[in-house]
Amino acid sequence: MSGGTGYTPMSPKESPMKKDKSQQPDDSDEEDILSSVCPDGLADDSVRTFIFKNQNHTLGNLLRDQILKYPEVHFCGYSQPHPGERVMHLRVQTLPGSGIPAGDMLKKGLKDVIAMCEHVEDLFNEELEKKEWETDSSANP
Amino acid sequence: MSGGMDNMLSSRKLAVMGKHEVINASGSLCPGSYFGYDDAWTLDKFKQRTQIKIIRMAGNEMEFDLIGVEPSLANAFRRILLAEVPSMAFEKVFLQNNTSIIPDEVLAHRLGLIPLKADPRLFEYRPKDESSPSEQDTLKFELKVKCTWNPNRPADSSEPDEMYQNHKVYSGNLRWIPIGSQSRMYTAKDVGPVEPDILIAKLRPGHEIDLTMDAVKGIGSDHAKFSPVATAFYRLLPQITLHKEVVGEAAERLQKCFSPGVIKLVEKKGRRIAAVHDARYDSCSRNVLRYDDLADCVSLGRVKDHFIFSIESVGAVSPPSLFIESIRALKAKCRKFLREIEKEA
Repeated sequence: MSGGTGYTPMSPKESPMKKDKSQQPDDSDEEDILSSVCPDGLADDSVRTFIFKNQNHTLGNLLRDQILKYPEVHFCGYSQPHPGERVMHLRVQTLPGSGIPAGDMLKKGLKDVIAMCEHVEDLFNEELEKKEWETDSSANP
Repeated sequence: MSGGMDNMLSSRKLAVMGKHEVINASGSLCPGSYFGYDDAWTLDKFKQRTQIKIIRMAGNEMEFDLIGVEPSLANAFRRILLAEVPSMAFEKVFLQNNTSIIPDEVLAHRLGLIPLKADPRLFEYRPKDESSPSEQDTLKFELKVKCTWNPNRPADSSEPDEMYQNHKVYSGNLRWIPIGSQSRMYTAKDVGPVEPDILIAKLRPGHEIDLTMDAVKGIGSDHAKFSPVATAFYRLLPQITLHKEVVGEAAERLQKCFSPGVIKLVEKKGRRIAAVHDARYDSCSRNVLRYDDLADCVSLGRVKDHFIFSIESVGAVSPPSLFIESIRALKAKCRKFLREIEKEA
């Protein structure tokens, strides 16, 4: 991970104000979609702020919620620093002295979200095969 | 023994609706927030508590129950349905002539909002470099309408329908122009407007609209016209519990406080007693709490992890397919970032 020494504001060059069409979902050739910074004076990698480009509350809240469920995690929070910048920040801190890299928790979070999605998809497909639903247009009395 | 443990159980499960406030509304259970519970997340626990039940599927609408998941996951699916699942819509309008009273840009905007039947999964995004449209990424349509006097109009008529010809322009007037081999793959019905009777403009004799346009694939966060759903929302399952027997006039009053079908009256030894029939479709108005005598008999809540999910498609893709697309979109997004981390590590 590219460990910077502090948060540097985005340069005007990469400001999303200029029209970029790269927010489309299956667009993978965009450079630098994820980077991370750690706070000043901290040498260990248990504290990290991950910077997600072109992401918003959809992924931010989901990852925060998921990562907070791990006992090894001391703090996790996300923000969208400015509504005009298509950027989401996610800060992860593992328990002090545990030596667990914050990046591992993010990795685990992403993997677990994928696993949850797969399970929900399986359940939904099973339900589709059962065909047990009502078909009248207004079941709501 | 009904004190502490019961309260704790219900505060984990239920958001309680009081007269002026909702208690325990926050949803997430993190390790350490409840003493005596192991809330550390594991996939096995998730699989054990998660359920899906499809309740209703009719036309473009679907209702299903998503049970046992966190609000953040249900909300992610909802937000992705609205803003990130793609659909086809008109993006470029080339005007040859527009002598109607609608300004060009307003007309173009109205055209953009017409929902199309075309299945976005069969198309690619148009490349960024604005290269010429190809059969994989573009659908071409033309609209040519000219309004004239009706030569056979009754002399004394003031009805526009009798006086003019072609004075209303509908989505049904759009004509599809296949590019390349598109004519072999699709029919005009497969890709054209979902409804033929969407009014686009009104004309008077001498007015004319002549234009061609390109429909492309896009996503709702770019423009709402690309959103594949009319609505996608969820609500929590209501729960109504009666603590005391409510009889006679009070029972009828209680019944009226809720949506139809929620409370039933049971005849027992010549007395009419209120009972909860089905809380699912209650509007959760909390009207019952306005009556002091009834407020003590009932407690109202919502099950915090029981999401009643409704999806209404615009018409191109069926609601169940849309939900599956939203799951896949979320997976793809996570995989993309996972690859990125592993690349850097």
